[in-house]
Amino acid sequence: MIWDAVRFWLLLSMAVLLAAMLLRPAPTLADENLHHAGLVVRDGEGRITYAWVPFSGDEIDGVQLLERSGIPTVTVDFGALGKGVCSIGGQGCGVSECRLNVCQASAADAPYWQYFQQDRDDPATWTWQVLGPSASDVEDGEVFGWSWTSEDPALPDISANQIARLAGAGEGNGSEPSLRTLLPEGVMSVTAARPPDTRTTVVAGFILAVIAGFSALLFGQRRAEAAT
Amino acid sequence: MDVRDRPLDPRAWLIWAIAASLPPLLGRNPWPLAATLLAVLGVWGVRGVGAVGARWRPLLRLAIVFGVISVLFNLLTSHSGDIVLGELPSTWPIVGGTLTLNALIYGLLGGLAILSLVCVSATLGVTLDWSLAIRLLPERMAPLAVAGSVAWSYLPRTTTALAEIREAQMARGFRPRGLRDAAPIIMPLLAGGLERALMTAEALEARAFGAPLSPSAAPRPWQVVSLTCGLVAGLTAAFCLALGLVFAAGALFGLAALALAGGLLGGHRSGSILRRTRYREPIWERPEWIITGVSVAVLFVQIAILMLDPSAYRYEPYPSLAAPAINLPLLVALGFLLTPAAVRP
Repeated sequence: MIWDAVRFWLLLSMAVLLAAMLLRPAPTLADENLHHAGLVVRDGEGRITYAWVPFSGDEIDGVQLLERSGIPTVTVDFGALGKGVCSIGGQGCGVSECRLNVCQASAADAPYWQYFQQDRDDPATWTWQVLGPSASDVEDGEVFGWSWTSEDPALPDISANQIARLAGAGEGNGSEPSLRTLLPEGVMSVTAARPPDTRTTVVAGFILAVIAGFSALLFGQRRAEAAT
Repeated sequence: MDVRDRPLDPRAWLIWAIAASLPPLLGRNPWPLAATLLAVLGVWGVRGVGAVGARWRPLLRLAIVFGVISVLFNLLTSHSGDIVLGELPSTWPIVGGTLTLNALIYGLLGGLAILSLVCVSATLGVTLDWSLAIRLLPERMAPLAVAGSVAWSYLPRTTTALAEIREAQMARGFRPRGLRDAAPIIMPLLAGGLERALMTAEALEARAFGAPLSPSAAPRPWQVVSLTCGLVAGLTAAFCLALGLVFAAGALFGLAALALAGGLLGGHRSGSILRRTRYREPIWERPEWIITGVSVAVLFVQIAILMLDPSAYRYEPYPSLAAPAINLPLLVALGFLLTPAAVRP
């Protein structure tokens, strides 16, 4: 009797939690309490993305800065070790490979996503963050960078205000994140892989249907033989 | 299994299992996963008819349960993706953050891969003649194989014993209502299992199983090193193949074959002291040739496509949901994994 009541209470609590989770409105940022941080992302082809990210509260971590910037990002959770960044803007690797080697190939000079913090007083100085983005605290006015590299980050020497303007955030007081990608000469923007055309998809579906049909036919024959 | 069917040579089944296991190990593209699963289920449906197949159905149900757990785990722990279903408070450790359709699909594909591999294992369990498989092993590995086959045979016996204990306890008026009532079932199960294990051990020892070898039949140190290196190279090659490093995998497989051959054949002279006699040689006829030939061809096609078009196997619904790549020759090749269902000895 008591266990039935406990089970009912647990089920009811989970249902209420699920409803609250799905129905609650998305939180909005109040303008008067906003802080801002800059983000610079440089990929292997030299494309540089500038982002200006608003946040409430005194600080956020590096992963939240990246996720809130609007740049397509894929991360994996390593529990107490924090999150690993697998892919930024389409460069990197998939989740399965990321869990194995954080997208670094076997060669000693193979590039991978490295995380840097810009010196407030000297924008030309970028310091490698050994502990990664989960362990870094991003405060108002700070700038962090990501570079697909094995050594020199090649991140630009520009101030936080310039980053805000390059990202399209104007004076940098907005409540929405801004981002913009600058392409070096001769480099195209990242394009997503073309999906298969309709004809190929239909033929693939037909092949699967044929396999399923043959499986069912052979199964039916075997059942008929077993019954006789 | 129909009594009119003779068991096929286990080597044919093992090669088929390797070909069928490759797509779920190499990636999560739903097209080859679906083709493999449909073909394997077809073989299971034909070969797993009757009581033999019924013993393995609990394993398939368990695989489905683990698949569901995989979906939930991925949905709650992976917060990447562009299609948001809901949100948990970010202050909650690990599960806090957005819940995305991308993560749900990734979990589903993972569950599909697990189910495919379990179906291949269950099909092997139903169709493989374990006594024939043991006879194929080198003589020096025979004790290991006997121990493995005895342990493997305990799985269905344990399932049967569990059912009998439950019926006996219920006949005494015992009604299990939850985990706290598991002790009257678990204890007899453990006691019975230990008793069976002791009886089996005594029977094996009476037949000189595990008796120490004479010094002249003992393996030489270089053979042990060669075999160890061969096994390590083989495992590393399989890992490289799963990562898509085909050339490294090929080189390591070659090295593994050389090391294992050296270690096994080098002991041939001393192994002759342990030579076993066979009452009946394994049968290798047209059905075995057909299944092996088709499985090897499917395997080559898969490896060739892995080298030329890795996206045929790989698919990630991150960071945005996009249609997976389709490789039509691969799907056609995987359809031929149905061959064992169509071939009768």
